[in-house]
This record gives sequence, structure tokens and C-alpha cells, in this order.
Amino acid sequence: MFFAALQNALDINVILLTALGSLAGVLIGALPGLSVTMATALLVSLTFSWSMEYALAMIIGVYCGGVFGGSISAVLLNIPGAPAAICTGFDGYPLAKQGKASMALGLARIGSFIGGLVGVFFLALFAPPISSIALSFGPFEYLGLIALGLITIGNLSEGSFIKAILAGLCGLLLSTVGMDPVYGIPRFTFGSMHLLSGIGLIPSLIGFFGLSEVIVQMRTPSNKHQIIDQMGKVIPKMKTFIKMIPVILRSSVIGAWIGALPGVGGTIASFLAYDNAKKTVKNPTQPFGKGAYEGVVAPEVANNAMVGGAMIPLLTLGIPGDAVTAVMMGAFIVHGLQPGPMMMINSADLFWYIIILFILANFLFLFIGLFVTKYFTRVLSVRPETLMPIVSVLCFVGAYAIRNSMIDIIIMVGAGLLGYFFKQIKFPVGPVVIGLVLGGMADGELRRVSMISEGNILGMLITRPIAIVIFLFALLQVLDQIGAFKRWRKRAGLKIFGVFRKSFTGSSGRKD
Amino acid sequence: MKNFRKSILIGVLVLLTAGFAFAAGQQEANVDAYPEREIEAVITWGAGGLTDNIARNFLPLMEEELGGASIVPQNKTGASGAVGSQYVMSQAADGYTVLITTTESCGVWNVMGTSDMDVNDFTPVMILTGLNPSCYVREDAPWNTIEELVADAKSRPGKIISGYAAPGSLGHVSGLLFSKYSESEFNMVPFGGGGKVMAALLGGHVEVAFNPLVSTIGNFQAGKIKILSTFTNEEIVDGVPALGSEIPAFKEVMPYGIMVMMMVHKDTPKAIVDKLANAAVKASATPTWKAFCDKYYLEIIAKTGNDFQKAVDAWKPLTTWLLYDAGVATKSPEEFNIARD
Repeated sequence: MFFAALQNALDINVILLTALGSLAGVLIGALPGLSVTMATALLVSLTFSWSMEYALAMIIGVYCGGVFGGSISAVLLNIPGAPAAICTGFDGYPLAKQGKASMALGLARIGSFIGGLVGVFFLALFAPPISSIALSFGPFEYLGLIALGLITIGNLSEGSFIKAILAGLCGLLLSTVGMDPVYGIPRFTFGSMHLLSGIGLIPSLIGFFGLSEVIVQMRTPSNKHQIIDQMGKVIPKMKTFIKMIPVILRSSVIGAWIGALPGVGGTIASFLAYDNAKKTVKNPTQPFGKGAYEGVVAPEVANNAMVGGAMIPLLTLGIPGDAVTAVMMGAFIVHGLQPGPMMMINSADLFWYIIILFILANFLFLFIGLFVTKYFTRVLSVRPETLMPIVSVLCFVGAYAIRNSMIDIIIMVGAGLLGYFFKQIKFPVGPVVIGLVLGGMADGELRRVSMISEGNILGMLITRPIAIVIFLFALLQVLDQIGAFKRWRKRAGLKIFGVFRKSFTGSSGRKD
Repeated sequence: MKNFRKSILIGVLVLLTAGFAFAAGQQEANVDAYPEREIEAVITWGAGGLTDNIARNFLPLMEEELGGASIVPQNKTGASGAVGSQYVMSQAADGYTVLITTTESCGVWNVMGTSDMDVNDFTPVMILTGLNPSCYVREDAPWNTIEELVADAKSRPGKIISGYAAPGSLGHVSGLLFSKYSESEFNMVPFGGGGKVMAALLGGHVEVAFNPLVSTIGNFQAGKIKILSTFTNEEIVDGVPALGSEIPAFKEVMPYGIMVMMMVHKDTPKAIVDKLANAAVKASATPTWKAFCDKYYLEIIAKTGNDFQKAVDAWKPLTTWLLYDAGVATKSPEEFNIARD
């Protein structure tokens, strides 16, 4: 079966299409305002009349390349190409400002590559068991994860915990706009039909990061901007790399597992991985938030591992793990397949073919990415007077392109102005967008938890071990903010976060 | 130089204005030559979803019947289909913009308070297919027949957890319909998407759900779920009883489902509407389409004109009153002259 699939895949057309898809994905992901989800949706139309093999090659190429591509604009312009790349910019952009953009992009590229392969590894060998465990995650467990995510927001920026949480709360407030998930009653829509679907994530992302950055740059005197990039250095020294292996492994596990939970997605995976890296790496190459190599690698590994993870529920149960896999499911149906457990039983060849395509796509974007980043880093040497107008046009185009709606442009501009204001008062912007992403999910899960338990939330919670563990973890994060508690915990030997490090490197990682 | 630039600017403005005027003039379409250019088909649901798949498989067949015309599908989602429909309403009534949507969106906007628009604000072309839900439970659930489920639900009202996708969705209304006519109460919980409902059911977080066959058949064939019955009067899946024949109270309201329909702007000339309808009906009769619908358990309806109107008018009362009685619809169907069934 595997070899039949391999034969199919070694068709030169398939390789070329995957390469084309990877290139297109990287470019689309890199341009602020264009998103992989949108590209994949367009691809369904484009590939409708192609054979299933060719259509999948292109779609998978775009998916893998696109997730990596989002990191390019995050690093170079501090404008993430997708919500999953927000954390990449936290350390990637400072690195670029230090003249090490090539290194940052190289780290993102290699991290994405490794994460992608680990994700495929899980998909290929452990799909059924991962899928069963993922199914046992119900509303209580999802709520726990989201609560964990919400609290983790506080740790994301190097600034104060409180400011980040406040920013996150703004995001939560914005997420309430739209239709109530249970009754469909419009909230804060001011009678506008377009706001019924809520405040769009992509226009907000483009606005908060993109347009606000444009305004910031345009208000800064131009002589501060010329950065000469150390072009030669694209990969880190072997020693540094080896020290990062535990972070890479942990982040890929986080990414793959979160991907396997339908509906959770790459954003949460990437920032849980970033937070984990922040907590477990005691001596980062540079401080986190100022250019730590680990801070670029962790989220990129996680968001590409998520890709493989998201395919698990799709291929084992016919349930898409995220927006792109939902479109892929449509592509399956369009080509006459019936996604679901039977699909893999009836078409095992296809399963291995998909695995091979993913492996191929990861290798392809590794190399294509190298060439692409060489050209993209030149962006840094373009004067802001020229670059920023181009970026702002891309912002407008990107916001409109999602659903051809003027409301999205208004949201984008509003977010841009609000983001600029936030930057002026030194509030972090990332948490707002993450709050926006998590808010809707939190609302839905909390309502579900309440309905299922008929109001007796705690009573039912204590019967669910996984949920209890997750909530305790989240509680721990809050309590850790209290200095006294943290010191007590460490003295009591409850070194919960460092557990994995010992097993992988055999040392505590500290310079003793 | 300044004068030169000025004259260029004026020249460009003149050209643009002339261009607009020219484009506006294009609206006077020649009915006999229709279609002369690309037709845009606006699908009000997302790429990859059920409606999208049905539309994308149907349109190429219709293109052939229209003499090789080009129909380009475009997804315009939002507000349960109101955004896409609004767009079609705002385009010229020349038959070059077609709307593909479902009854559970445009049929209930008025009572749900989503929009003032309604099916009657458009001219019907054809009802493509029907999607009939099925009632399903996990493979190891304690009920083997629909009667057992109903009996259990009656003995402990509101305790059995039933999942649905979103307020007003097919799964939701089916669940409400089921409760009403079997006189049983469930604890109904929304999950935000059909896929998530299936995941929740397989994981044991909900016990019953209602979804179209196309979404459940995969897991049914793999033996992971039991389909207790379909919302029809006759058996359409081997071994799965029809609700209408199992529980007499349901006979009068079966078959129930939603319909995927194609409509155009209200003021589109009748000749163009007829051309579209004829092409659609012919496309519906092709073996390719039949095979597709058989595979995915879609009921081919293919009603046009008055039949279309009657089918939709018959569908509305049941659904809107169910939603209103459940407290999901904020406006009473009476406001819109929809009498109780």
C-alpha cells in the first residue's frame, strides 16, 4: 500500500504541483492580509476539475507552505500573516531589528519543517489512538484548555502580566459582538447584518498589527530605520540547535495534540508552545521578547505540527480539525469521496499518499523557503516611506478580500487606530487578538458546560479527571503570579514545568 | 508641465465617467442571447460545506444545458446566508447573478430577527435537493429503536442530552420537531458545527443528535453509530426505519428536511428565469446528478415556479412555529402571515 502510494506520488506532476503549492503558500502566508484559509477556499474552485491526486498535492503544498509563510511578515514587519504567527513575531521582530532577520527566518523555517514532520509522524502512526483520546475531550476539557489559554495570555509579552490580561479582556469584549451561540440573538451588532458573524479575526489581525505598525512607522523619523541584515547567517550553530531540541520536541507534541482537537487550532497551539518555552528554557540565547531563538522556534514548530494533528480527526472521523481541513473535506466530497472512518478503510492508498504529500511539502518549503526569504529580507532595506504605503494597500486589500465586505475594512481601520493607541500607551497588542480568538470559543464552551451539567458545573467537573488536571494547571499559572506562592512551590519541590527537561537532556539545563 | 498634468487628470476622469456610463448601459441585456457572459452563482455557505458541494457539483451540469455557458461559483457567507442574499438583491436583475441558499437560512430570517428579507423577495428558479436528517446515537447506546429512545426520554424528561449545530440549523429544528411530536423532552445543547456534534457524540458527551445522512453515513457504515430512524415516511437506508412509519404521530409532518434552492433577483425578466429553470431541470435529470445524489442521500426535488413556491410555503409554518415556541425565534410567525400548521 505504501509503495503503491509512493509510486503515485513520484509522478513529476505531483512533485511540481506540491512545489507550486508550497511556493504559493509561502508567498500568500507572507503577504500581510492574505490568509491560507482564503487561499485554500479559492483552491477548491480551481482544482475542482482536476484529479484527486493533483488537487491534494496543490492543497497540501499551500497548507504547509502557508503556515510557515505567516512567520515571514511577522519577523520582517511585525505583522503576522496569520493568528498562529503572532507569537513568532514576539522574538522574531526584535531579531530582525538587530540585523538578524535571516537567522530568525531560518529558525522559523527549520522549526516549521521539523514541526511539520513530527505532525505527519503522529498522523501516520498514531492517528487512531490520538483520535480516541481527542474524542474524550468534551466541553469541560475544552473549557479548561481555553481557560488555560486565556490565563497564558498574561505571560506572552515581556511587559506586565496585568497589562496583557487587560488587553486580552479587550479582545474578549470584542469577541462578544455577533450572534449568541445558543439563541442566535444579535449582540452589539447595531442593526448591521454584517456584524452578525462577529468581528472578523483576519481584519482585526491586519488592523491591530498591520495598520497600527504603518502608523507607528510613519510617525517615526526616517533616519532611525536603516538596518543592515547579516545575510549570511541562516542557520544557528549546531551547539545552539542541540540545546533547543527539548523545546522543539515539547512544542511539536503540544502542536500535534492541539491540532487533533477539532476546533481549537493553531493559534492556541503556537502560544501555549511559546509560553511553555518561556517557562522551561532557563538560559535562552537572548532574553524572551528581545530576540530569543527559542521564542521563534517554539511557536513555529507548534503551528506546523498542528497541521498534521488537524488531519487526524479529518481522516479518522470525517471531522475537520480547523478551517483549512474543513475546506479539504469539501475537496474530498467534490472528488466523490465520503470523509469518515470508512474512507481510510476503503482507500488506504489515499491515506499513505496524503502522508507522502505532507512529507514532500515540508521538504519543499524548506528549500523554497530558503530562496524566498533571501528576497524577502531585502524588504528590510526598503525605506519606510516606500514600504509602508505598499503595506497599507495590502492591508486594505487583504481585509476586503475575505468576504468582499466594506464592514471588514471598517473593522480593519478601527483595529488599526485602536492598535496604534495601544502601542502608544505601551499595551501589548497580541493579547487583544488572542482574546478575540478565544472569546467566542470560551463563550460557547461555558454555555455548553452549563447546559450539560444543568447548572451544576462543579458537581460534574469533579467527575472528569482530564478537565480537573487542565483547570489545576491554569489555576497554577494564576497563583504563580504571586511571588510568595511561587517561591513556596519551588521550595516544596513541585517543579511541574521542568519535568520534561530532565527526561530529555538528563540535566536540569542550568549552568551549575 | 502643470497644465499637462491637469489635462491628463481631466482626461482620465472623463474616461472613467464614460466607462461607468457605458457599464451601466450594459444592463439592457438581450433576453434571446442570454447568457452572453459569465453568470455568477453566489453560495451563501462556506467553501467545503454541504451546500457548497451540492452547488459545485450541480453547476457544471447546468452549464452544459445552457449551451456551454460559464457559471462561476462564489462563496459569500455571513449572517446565516443574509449577506450573500443581500448581495444578490443589490445586483442588476439581469439574470447574471444567481443565488444558491437553503431554506433554513432564508426561510427563517424574519422570525429569527436576522434580516427583513425573505424567500418571497426573490424569484424562484429551482429547488435542487432536499436534505433529510436522521436521528443517531452511539453504537453502544442503550436504545436500539426509536421507540426505546422516546420511552426513555418520557420517563426522565430533560435528562437525555441531545446535540445540535447552531440555533435554527437543521439539527436544531429536527430535534425540536422530534420532541414536539413524540412528546418527549431532551436537554438540547448547541455545538457550533455539525462536525463538533459528531465528535461530541462519539466521545460520549452527548447521547443523541440529528444530522443529514450525508454527514452520518460514514460513521454508520463503520459501525460507530446507530441510526435509529430517518425523517421520512419510507425507508431510504437499508435497515433504518422511517420515522413516519414507526411513530404514527410523525406521519403528517414527514418527510422533513431542508431544501437547497436557486433563486434570482425579483425583477429578473421571466424569459431569463424560464431559461435558467429549464436548464436546471434538465441538469437535474442527468445520470451524473442522480448518481451524486444517490451517493450522498440527497433527495432530488427539482421543483420550479409555482411548485417551488408551494413547497417553500408548506415548509415554513412547521419550522418557524417550532422555533418560535422554543423561544429561539424572537418574532412570531403571525407577524408574517404564517398560520400554524
